[in-house]
Amino acid sequence: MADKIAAGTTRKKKNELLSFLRYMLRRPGYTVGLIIVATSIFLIFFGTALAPYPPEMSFSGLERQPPNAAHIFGTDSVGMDVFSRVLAGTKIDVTIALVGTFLSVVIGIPLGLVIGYYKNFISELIARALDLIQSIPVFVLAMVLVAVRGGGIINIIMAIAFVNAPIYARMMRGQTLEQKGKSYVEASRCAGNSDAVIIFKHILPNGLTPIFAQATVNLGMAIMLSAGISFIGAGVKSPTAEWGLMVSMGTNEIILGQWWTSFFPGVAIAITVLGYSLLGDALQHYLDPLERKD
Amino acid sequence: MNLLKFIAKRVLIFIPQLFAVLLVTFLLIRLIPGSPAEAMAGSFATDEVVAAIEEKMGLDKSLTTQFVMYVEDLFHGDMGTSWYTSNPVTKDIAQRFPATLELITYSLLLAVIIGVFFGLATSFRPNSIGARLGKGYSLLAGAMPEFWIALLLIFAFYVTWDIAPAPLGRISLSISPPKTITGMYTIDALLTGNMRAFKSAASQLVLPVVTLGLCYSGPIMKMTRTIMSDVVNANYVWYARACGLPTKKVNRYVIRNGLTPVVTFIGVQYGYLFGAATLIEQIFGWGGIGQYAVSAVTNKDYAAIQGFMLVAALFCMIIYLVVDIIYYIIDPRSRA
Repeated sequence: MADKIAAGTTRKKKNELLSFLRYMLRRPGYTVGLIIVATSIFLIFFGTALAPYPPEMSFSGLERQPPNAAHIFGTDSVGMDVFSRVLAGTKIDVTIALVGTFLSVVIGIPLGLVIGYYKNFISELIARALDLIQSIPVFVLAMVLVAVRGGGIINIIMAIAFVNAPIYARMMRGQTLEQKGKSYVEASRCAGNSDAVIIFKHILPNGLTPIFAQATVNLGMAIMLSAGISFIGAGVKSPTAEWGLMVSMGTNEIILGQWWTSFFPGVAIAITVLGYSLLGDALQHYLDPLERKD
Repeated sequence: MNLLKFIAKRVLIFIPQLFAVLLVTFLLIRLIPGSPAEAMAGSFATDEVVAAIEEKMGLDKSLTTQFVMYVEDLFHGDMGTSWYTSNPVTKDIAQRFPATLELITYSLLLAVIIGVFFGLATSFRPNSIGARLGKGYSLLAGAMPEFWIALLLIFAFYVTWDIAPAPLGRISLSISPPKTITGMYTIDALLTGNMRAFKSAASQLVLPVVTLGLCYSGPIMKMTRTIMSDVVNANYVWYARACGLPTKKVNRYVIRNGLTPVVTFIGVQYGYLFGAATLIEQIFGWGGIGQYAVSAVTNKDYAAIQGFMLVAALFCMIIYLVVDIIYYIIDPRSRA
């Protein structure tokens, strides 16, 4: 019996994923989002390999070349191939966003569950502290964290995890507070289940889907955040191929009319963020039973 | 009377919030690996030098004593000394704050005008072409990094067409800034009747304000549309229509009810603009506290970073306070 139920739920989940894909493919806007996200994941692994030149190699004598047949996006002020760097940059930017967002969800969910389930002075204090952290502009907080902890990919990931975790903790806390009083939770407690079983088996699944949708939207914001941090010079250091840093390296050339060094990495950021926003938007609409028509 | 009572109550909440913000900014700087004294002394300093700096900064004392000292100094207006500019941080920030405030306030105004107007216009006809365009616009505006848009605008309007001034500060180098009253050039110039300075300051503002305005109108538009489309379909609206009230009157109900949550959202955006200003000020050589923060970050100027963080947090808290009061005034439901 139990096996049958388990099999049934996995089959249902598979169908759910398929039907979500179908939902996206039926709408041209969301299809574009899906393609962008799939491409970005593909480029994380194969971006550097597909690049025509090594992304950190500078060709002396070929500085500031406008886009041409050999360098389709041109070269930057030290003669590095912009196209290769844009491709390779996917690895850094998208990975930082994915890992940072994943960590913030992993920290936020249990924190929200615990402070929502156990009502006491400490949980109330933590909830207020989360409100406080969220009231500080994300970019300011992330920038200060990276400044204090030092640049580098790990510290940027940590900063993104730290500034975003309160969002999920608060969502999960709200959900827990709502579910806690319901009769199925009481019934489970009467049946002799421990707090851990109630929290993770009964309350957790209720809050997961909206958090998942929110996290997808936030992935785009995380890309923007890490690019911004590197843009001001606090994040990864040159010559690493990172989009924000590349845009910043081209600021001086823009004044000289050489637009390509900054233009293409910015396009990469915009397209990628758009892709993840579309995916998150699709997920939110798909999960909203009032809006969904098929 | 009720309003005063509400304000008093809300200000009372402000005090523990303020205390918590002080604690957070204080603790954040303690996250520095090793001691800030080591960072300040440089990598060639002997242990004695580091110890001397530690003593001077009070780092040898317990954490609680240090916190008490920090708060005491703050109430005397002392945020420490920036080792990069060698000025008191309070003075540095006070000097630069009006520049940032001027920039983000105009940007917010532009963002609100674009965002609320198009958000409203598109929410009454959710399937029209205009609504679809609005949706696309807010998605795009949310996806493009503001620092990149700034560069594109500079390239188009300064480099290519040469109709915008060079992105070098708040006023043309050949024009002396107006006498300082508020520190905001456009306002000071108007107050002193200095039209030449006003024209220059205003033209310098155009590109950064358009950049931030475009980027931040996207989320405001989206929020307005989301809330409005909920309100448009609310039961009381259907009821009003069923009663045969003219559309104009019904729309007035809708706008009145829908815009109140938007006010809160706009307040939050104001705070976010403060963060975004760091990027934009850097590009336009604005010389506000955003640019100050960036130079503090690159130079590991911890007193300045701490001061910036504190001012940013305080700014947001004051905005939220004001927003709550506005909300109380415009939404009768919050008075219950």
